[in-house]
Amino acid sequence: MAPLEHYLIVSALLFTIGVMGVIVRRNVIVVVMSIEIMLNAANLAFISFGRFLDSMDGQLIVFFVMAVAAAEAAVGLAIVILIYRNRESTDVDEMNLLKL
Amino acid sequence: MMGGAIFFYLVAGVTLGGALGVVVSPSPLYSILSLIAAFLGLAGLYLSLSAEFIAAVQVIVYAGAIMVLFLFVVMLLDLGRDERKPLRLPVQKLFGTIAALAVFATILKVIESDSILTGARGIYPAERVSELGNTQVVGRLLFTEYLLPFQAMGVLLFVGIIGAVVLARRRTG
Amino acid sequence: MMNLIALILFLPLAGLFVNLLFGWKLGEKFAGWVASAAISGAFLAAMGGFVRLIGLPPEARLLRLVLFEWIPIGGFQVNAGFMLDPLSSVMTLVITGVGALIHFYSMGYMHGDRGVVRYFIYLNLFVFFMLTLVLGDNFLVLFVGWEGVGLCSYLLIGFWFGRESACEAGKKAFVFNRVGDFCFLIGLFLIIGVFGTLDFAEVLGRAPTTLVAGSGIATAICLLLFAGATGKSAQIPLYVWLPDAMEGPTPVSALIHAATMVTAGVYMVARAYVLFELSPVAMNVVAIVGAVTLLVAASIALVQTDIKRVLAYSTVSQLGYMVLALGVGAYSAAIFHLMTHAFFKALLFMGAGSVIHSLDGEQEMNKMGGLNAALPVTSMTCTIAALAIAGVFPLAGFFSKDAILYSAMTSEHGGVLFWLAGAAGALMTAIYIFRLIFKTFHGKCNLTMETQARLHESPRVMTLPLQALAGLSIAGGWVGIPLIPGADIFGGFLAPSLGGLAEGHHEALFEVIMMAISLAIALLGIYIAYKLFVRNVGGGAAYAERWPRLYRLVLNKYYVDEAYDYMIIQPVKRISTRLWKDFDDGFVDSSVGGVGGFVRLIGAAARQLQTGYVKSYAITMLVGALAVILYLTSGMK
Repeated sequence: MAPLEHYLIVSALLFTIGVMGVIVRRNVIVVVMSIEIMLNAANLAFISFGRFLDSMDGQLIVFFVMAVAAAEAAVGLAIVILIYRNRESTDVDEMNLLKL
Repeated sequence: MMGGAIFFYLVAGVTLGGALGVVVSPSPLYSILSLIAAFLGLAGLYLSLSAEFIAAVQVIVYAGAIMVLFLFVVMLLDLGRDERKPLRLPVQKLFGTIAALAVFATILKVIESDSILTGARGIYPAERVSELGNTQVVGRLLFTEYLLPFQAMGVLLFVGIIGAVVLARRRTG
Repeated sequence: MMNLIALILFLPLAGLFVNLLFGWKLGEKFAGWVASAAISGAFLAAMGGFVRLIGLPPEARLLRLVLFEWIPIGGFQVNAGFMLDPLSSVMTLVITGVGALIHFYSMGYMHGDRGVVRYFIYLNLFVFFMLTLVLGDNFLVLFVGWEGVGLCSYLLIGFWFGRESACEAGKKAFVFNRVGDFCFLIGLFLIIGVFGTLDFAEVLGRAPTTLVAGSGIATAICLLLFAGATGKSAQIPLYVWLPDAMEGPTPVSALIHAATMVTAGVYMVARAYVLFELSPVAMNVVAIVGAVTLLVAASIALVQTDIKRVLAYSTVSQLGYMVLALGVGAYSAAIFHLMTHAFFKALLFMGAGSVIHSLDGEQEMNKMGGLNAALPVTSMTCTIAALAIAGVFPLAGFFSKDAILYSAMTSEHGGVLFWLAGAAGALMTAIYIFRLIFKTFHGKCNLTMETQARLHESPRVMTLPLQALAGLSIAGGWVGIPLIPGADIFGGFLAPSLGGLAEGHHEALFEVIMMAISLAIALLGIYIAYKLFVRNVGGGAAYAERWPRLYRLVLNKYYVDEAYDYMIIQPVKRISTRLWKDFDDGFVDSSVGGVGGFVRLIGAAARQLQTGYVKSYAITMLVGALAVILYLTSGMK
């Protein structure tokens, strides 16, 4: 089995890719997916630490994170649909009504 | 030992490649497919960490249910083609890259420090868990030590369902 | 017995509420009858109270009613308490009696006015407060009534609020009263400080032992109370509001600004006479103010041509008589004159109202004349009132004025100068009142033919009260006949409230001479008026031409209003303008505006951070998160 550091580096890379996705991409759905990637990066870190510390806590927390992610995806996508209905667009840069 | 290392690099590569695909592919549809690949890779990583139950859940819930939801939305909204309009803030890309690199550097710095694994050891070494059965351990903990968060999670999902229904419902009249 | 006081007090209030709830629906006639019935009921109750007092031995003539504990604070307590003693009994009889007549009269006078229901509501409210004032058994209840009648006076002066002059007059009355009330209030605080209570019985009972006679504090209390009285009873220096108060409906002038409210000050001083006795200085001030006021006001009344203004200045002058009487210690004479004055002055005002009513609102005497034939009842009753106010034997004014003049001469606080002032005032009174009678009812008619054709005597609902008051003006003085032993029923009745009768060393011959002199003065005055305004029309104008400066000075009321304007109003206005422009606009506004401007400036800078783009928020959040992580991990190797 690979050492802990390798898992953590994979996790860090995943997280960085997620951050890039959120900042660079403009399609709301891709942004939401990038957020999922970041969540999974955290999940990976949790499980790795748990495995190397002889603990089950990491796995259980991941379980909860998944539930939260599921809820978030459901609500988030509902919002996306709503926005699309109103504005005929999924471009986050066009969703700047807060400023007005 | 060698086989384990090869497996790790294989699934890590699939995961990172899938994640990159999500970010770079122009079409949301491809992004979703890449993400499924990434999630499957992650499930492999979990397996290599002897977290069999979570790996299964990862495949069933994430790669299955959630990604189907995404796919469904993309189909529903007919988002076959991605944005072609120029970025409103051109510096954004640069800015984002710098920020992402900073994040990576920070995490790397933490990983490389000596104090990375100083926490107290738990009572579930991998051997014991595999002896007892991973799913059984997770289930037992879920309904004993983590009962309250488990219940709260149920409430959260319930609220999420209601929220999604209320938001996406087409208002009549 | 307690029900009687409650009846006197609350019948007007009941009338007020009935009118408030139903008057608007049921109309003018209903409102008028309800209001009049309420006051008539109160009058009957007052009669009942009077009879009950008479039935008691003189020392025990006191009925009390405590409604509730009003202000209990530690050792200090004020009750909503009322009492009926001979003094308040006389006052309630005058208020409800004259008040009822004026209510009936108002039904005719205000007929057809749009605000007639409101009018009767105000009038009932006024009577209620006036009764509170005279029935209160402590200074604070008196003060409640005091302020209440001030409010009603303001409301009724400005009753025709469509007229700007009426609003101005109402405001003026209110502000001038406020000055007096303020002094009165400070006086009350001093009383609390010295006595620890406001109860009449306690304060007056303990005053001779608690206060040193002639001490500064006694004088201060008395002068402050008296300052309040000058406001309410229109004495120098606060009298200028009363002539302007004639902007109100004439029955209001009759009730409030002649018969009742303006006598509140006189009543209050009489009520607190024990305090005044302790301060010779204050007594002197009171007497001097009364004497000067009666002269000044009478002289102004000589030249005014507005019928109501003549009567207004006459009221000020007659109030001066009462105050003079108070100042020389003749309290029962003051109250006596208060009562008779209420009869004949209310009658004069209502007569004037009758004239104005039949002339469609004309108040200028120069445009009247010769109304005797057209308005026989009004003319007759007014002449009776004029004879009474001039002091012709045996009408009411003769006895009361004679009592005052006699006391001014003989009392220990009095003196020849006071008597001279009173006598000169009496002469002027006779002249100005008969000038009014002659100019209005006799001589050539100066009305346009059109108005003459429409002349009519007022309806019976107006003339009957006139006749009733005429009867009182004739007979009202017979309760206080001096000389004959036991004939001064009035003084005897009041004695328990106002201390024993000072008299006792009556010199019969001297008194008869004095009476003869005052009668002679009255007749002389009437003769002069006859010569100047009937025999030789324009005789008055000749005098005016002979001393034009003096004439103009008096005609313009000694420029008192102008002096007030110059000395007080303008400086206050200038200071206020400065405060407004420099302090308020300059300092307050700019500092408040500056705070706002500063916040806006910061906001304008900060809003640059809010791009509205989700991503910029995400980046900001990321940078923040990084900073936190770096901080937390800075301790690691």
